Amino acid sequence: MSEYVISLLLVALVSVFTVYPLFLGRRKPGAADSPEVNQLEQLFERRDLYYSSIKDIELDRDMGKLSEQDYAELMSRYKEKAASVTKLISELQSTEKNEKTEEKMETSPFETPVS
Amino acid sequence: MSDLGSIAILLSFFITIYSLFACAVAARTGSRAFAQSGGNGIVSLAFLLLVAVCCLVYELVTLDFSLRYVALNTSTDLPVIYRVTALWAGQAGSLLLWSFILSLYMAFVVLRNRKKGGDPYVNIVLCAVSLFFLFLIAYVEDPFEKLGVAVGEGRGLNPILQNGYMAIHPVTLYVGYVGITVPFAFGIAALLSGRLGDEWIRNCRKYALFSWMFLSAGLLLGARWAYLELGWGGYWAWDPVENAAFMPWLAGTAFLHSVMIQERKAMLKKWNMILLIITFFLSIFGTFITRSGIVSSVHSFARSDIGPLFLGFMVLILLFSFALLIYRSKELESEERFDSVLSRESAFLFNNLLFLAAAFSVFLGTIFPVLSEAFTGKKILVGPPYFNAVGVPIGLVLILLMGIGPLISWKKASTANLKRNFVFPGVVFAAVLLALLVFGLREPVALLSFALCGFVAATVFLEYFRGIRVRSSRGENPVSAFFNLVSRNRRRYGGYIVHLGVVLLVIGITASSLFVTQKEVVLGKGDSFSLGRYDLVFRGVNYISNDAKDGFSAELSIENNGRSVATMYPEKNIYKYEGNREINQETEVALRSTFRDDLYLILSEVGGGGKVNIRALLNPMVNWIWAGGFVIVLGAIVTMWPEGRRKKESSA
Repeated sequence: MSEYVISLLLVALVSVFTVYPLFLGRRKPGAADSPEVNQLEQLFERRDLYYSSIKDIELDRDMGKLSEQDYAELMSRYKEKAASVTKLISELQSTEKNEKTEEKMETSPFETPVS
Repeated sequence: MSDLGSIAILLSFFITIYSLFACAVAARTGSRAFAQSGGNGIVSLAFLLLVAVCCLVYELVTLDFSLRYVALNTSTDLPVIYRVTALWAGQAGSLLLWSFILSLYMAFVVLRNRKKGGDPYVNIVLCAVSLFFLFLIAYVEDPFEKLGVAVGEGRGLNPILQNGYMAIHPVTLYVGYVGITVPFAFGIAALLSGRLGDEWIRNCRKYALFSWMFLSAGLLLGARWAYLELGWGGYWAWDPVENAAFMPWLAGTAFLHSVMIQERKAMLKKWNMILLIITFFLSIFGTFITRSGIVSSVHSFARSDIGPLFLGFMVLILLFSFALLIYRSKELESEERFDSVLSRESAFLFNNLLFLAAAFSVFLGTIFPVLSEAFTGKKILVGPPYFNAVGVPIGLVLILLMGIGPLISWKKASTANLKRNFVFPGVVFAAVLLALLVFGLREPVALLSFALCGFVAATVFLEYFRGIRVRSSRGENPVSAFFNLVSRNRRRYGGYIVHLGVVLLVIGITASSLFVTQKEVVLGKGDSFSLGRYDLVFRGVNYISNDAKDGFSAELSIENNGRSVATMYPEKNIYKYEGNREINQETEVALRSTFRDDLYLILSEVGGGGKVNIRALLNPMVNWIWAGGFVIVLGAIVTMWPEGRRKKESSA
């Protein structure tokens, strides 16, 4: 008998946990939900990868595996890529900051100008 | 508890169908609610399967013989630990374990990606794979199936499975096998969604490395178990079930190397997708081989009708994956080209091709008996001579590439740099070769293998030495330089540790394969014989009997240069419960291990008048294999250890 009670509880618990998000209604997306945050995360990871590659290239040159010409060419390529990603990050963060500022102004109780 | 377990499995099946549906809606519409609901379903799946596993373990430990699975795999004399490990002794339990481990991976992926919103496409693929295994345990091989009649005693667990290594080998191997599903899911999700940038390959690599590490450990634990329990003196017999785990390991190793090229140079995108599909296919194929009984093997203790279902699933995987790949092939065009044959990219590509060639040759040798039986009615077995003939040359070239790769740089290696970088390892290669020839070694494969191992070890040493020297030149002391070198370049230097582990492994395999000494002798009490540096004296036979077994134990004193070093007791037993075994006598080997060699004794026969037939082997350097395994796992952990994220810049 107790096994069936536990089973019923299990079914109820799992069902509620699984479907409750559908009944939460329209949620305001949090900071972690926005596509911009996802894009930012990806850009940071890509930038880290380029920095890591630059580190590897420097180490290879110092260890005598790369000629100066190849070193210069590879460094230039990766620095360019890293710079381009850093620029994108800056633009996204700037956009995000502006949106937050606008949102704050819309909801601020001190918004109404003193006449 | 069995009813609770059954309900948990059924509920798992339906929850997974729901999660698949919810994630599909989320993928199509972008609905966060459905994405989260699907994710919650996946987390629930892990919980439900945990309940099912606990229920089955409870039934096994309490010896509920009303359940078919318990009656087939346990007995009243079985120690508690082996009642627990009987969870994976049979078909249904193994499939439940597979599903449970996959659900843990799935829950981890969902919870880890929750902040980023998760990827419903990844969850769809994971759910689809999980659904297949859940279908098997819900409707085909039910671990909670009840017996029609009550039985008072179980058949017992096969005695050769009652071993510590067999307690951990299957779980370790399954974590590896099952884990390959995750990078596969990321890859297919990228093809489904069309998001073919960097993210999927980065996610793939981490999970692929994790599962590869466990696959490596699982393979070596299995080899260790075979060495201790099967009593033939070896650790690898190219058994179909051994090959089944080795093939995804080979393909996975190729993928792990190849993925670096895509990350650095945005090249080989299509190739990496193909490798990923092949690696996953081989992991399912491995499970199919083990579980379907289609190829006769010393490991295949279970036969059932799940074979056709597995076959259908594998065909579906291949068709669906490659159709998607063809559909997205234009978007997977590489942005760069190979600059030079003398580059790390080229070395990695050769490495890939060789690993795949090895995987294919093992695949062919494994399925040939099945094909021959299907077409000619006769099962033609393929044994070590074929696998060694193909595998040894490939292996030697791979060792060479393992040494060459780190010495050359990405893009293009200049001739002057190559000359400088190859001098020291080249000298070590020649020195090892010369030293071995001077000591009298003439076996060509052994000479080449040991010399190449020296070459690779020298390469690794050079990488560490030069790296430490570079850092020391900037003011660091050598010890700090070493730790900082590894901690700031974990992928590279962790990889070199793995390579060192492989060197130890290869040295051990070469020595123990080519230079075994053995003798088979009939001994009366007091008789002695010599093997290598050991003198062995037979002291007599003892009769042993306990609840589980009756048998004989031979006592042998071991001396080295007149000094007693050990007493060894090889056994021959008859187990009282028939169990699942196909033979009615088991040998327990006696083993004395050092780093130099193993003295391995088998009691083959006990004759009349107290005489015994002893087979004695001296296996050189076997412990180097296990040591190599430890080093490989250590290297993999170093490689996987997360590096701190650079501080996010705040906008001005």
